[in-house]
Amino acid sequence: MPARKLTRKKSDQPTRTARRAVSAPRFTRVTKSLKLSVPPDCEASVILKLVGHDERRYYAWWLLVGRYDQETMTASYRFTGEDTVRCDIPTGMPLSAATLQPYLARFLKGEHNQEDDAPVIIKGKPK
Amino acid sequence: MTTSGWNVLVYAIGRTAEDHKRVTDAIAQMHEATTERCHIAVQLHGHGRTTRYWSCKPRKLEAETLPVPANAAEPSSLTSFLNTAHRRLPTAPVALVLWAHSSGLDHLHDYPRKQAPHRPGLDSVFGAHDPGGLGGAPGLDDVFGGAAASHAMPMGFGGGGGGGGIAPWREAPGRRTRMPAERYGCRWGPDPNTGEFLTNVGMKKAIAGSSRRRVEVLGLNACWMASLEIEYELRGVSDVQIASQVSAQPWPYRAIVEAIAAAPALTTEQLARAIVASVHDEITAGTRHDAISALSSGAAMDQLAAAFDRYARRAMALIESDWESVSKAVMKDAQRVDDPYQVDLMSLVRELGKDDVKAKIAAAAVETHFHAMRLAHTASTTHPNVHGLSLFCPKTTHVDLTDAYRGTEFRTNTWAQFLQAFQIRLPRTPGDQAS
Repeated sequence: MPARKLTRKKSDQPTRTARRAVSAPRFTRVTKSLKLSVPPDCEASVILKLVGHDERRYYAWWLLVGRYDQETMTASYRFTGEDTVRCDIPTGMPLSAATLQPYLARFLKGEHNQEDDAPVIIKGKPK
Repeated sequence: MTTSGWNVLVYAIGRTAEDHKRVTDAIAQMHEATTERCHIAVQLHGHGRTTRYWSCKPRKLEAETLPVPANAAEPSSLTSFLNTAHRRLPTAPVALVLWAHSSGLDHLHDYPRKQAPHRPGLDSVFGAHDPGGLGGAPGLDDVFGGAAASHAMPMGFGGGGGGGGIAPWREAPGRRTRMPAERYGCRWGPDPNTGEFLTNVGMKKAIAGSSRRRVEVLGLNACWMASLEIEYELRGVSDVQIASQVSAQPWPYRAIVEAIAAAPALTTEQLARAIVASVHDEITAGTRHDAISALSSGAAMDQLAAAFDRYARRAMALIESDWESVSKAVMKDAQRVDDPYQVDLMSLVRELGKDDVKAKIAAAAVETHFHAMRLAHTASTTHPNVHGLSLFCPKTTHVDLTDAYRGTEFRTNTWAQFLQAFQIRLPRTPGDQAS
């Protein structure tokens, strides 16, 4: 069978401007008390804490601080031992449970613990 | 006990391709490292098949697939593996390791919603709604009925919630679900084919039902298994238990087998220490960040539980006489262990009742017994203040305490009543009712 020649039809659409990709949220595990402050390339930093589990794992919004330009908020967080994760949210990324959940699930899976790989739910506001 | 070699039995689950590969890699490494005085048997539960591996030097590694996949969550599957290993391997003391995922106690969920007997319709026939998940806490009235604010009438444990105005949906006429006894306790698994979990009650039954009836070393390579409730349940079927209080990582199986190969006459306690030391080496090297402890079982565990029962009795009294300090100790000061429902036992007894002389005396007895039975312990610096054993201690107002402890031997400990009284005393927020 002869190889089929592929031809691309010339588009009559004007060239689209590529949307600037928003970088992914950065997760780090919290293992001690800290002062939460937003990095320069981020709009907000969040502490998510494991508050319950059954067939799923439930994280709650625990602390959220923001940044606008050079002005940033700093808040103290006292670590009490529960599974706690810090998330730095880059500028342009919506601050919602739905947005963060898949990233959080991927981060937890990457830790290779012998923990039940239950689905992750971020509870409560902001939605 | 002095030995002339060991049989290392690993009962593992490889639910994902990654998990499966991790286990098969460990098998290859163990086979490479072993000698004629350390025999290894592994039962690996994968999707659609169960494979047994036998490593008895100088023979080659043998693998056999069972004709029908075994359900890892069934105690009989573990018993069958143990019996086959006991028959097939030379007589020697046994170190059994259960390697899979886990998430602490099973049956953790919110209180079921209260029935509405006066409401016409299907609910009055079949009971009220299904229990909400932890994601949706029932309101105050759902949990405690109208008497919630009175802090009265705690439920009895193991008795199905009588007396508290709570009517679990599963106990409504026509809806009662009878669970086999082994389906209570911890949550180890799940089996890749059935999705079911093996609990510590099931483990106990499986080991007790095997031809040797017990093992020398019982290792639980899974998250959050080093808890008083779990190890108390298993105290009669093992001399030593090794487990992790926190989110656990796979053990260095090669190093463990190398330790036995280097000194086959290791005693039970020496082997337990060697396993903890192998994990400690990796923590020191920065390649892992979990924690592990080895504790004596049997009478030592009974003594610890009895001392803790006396301590819990005093702590109960403090709920009425010094609620502020009790609340602060449980909610803020005692060290949590990754799991929001568990607290480090030593941290708790040092914080709860620290201003009360009677509680301090009772706490000192708990500490004495605990340190006498703790053979070895190590923890990453990312887990500060963990000492080797955890305890169920939820901070929330809506976790169903009755069902969490149901079916376990520990439910009769006074700590169960403490939790009940503590939970009733916790203030309710508007959010409890709204969510």
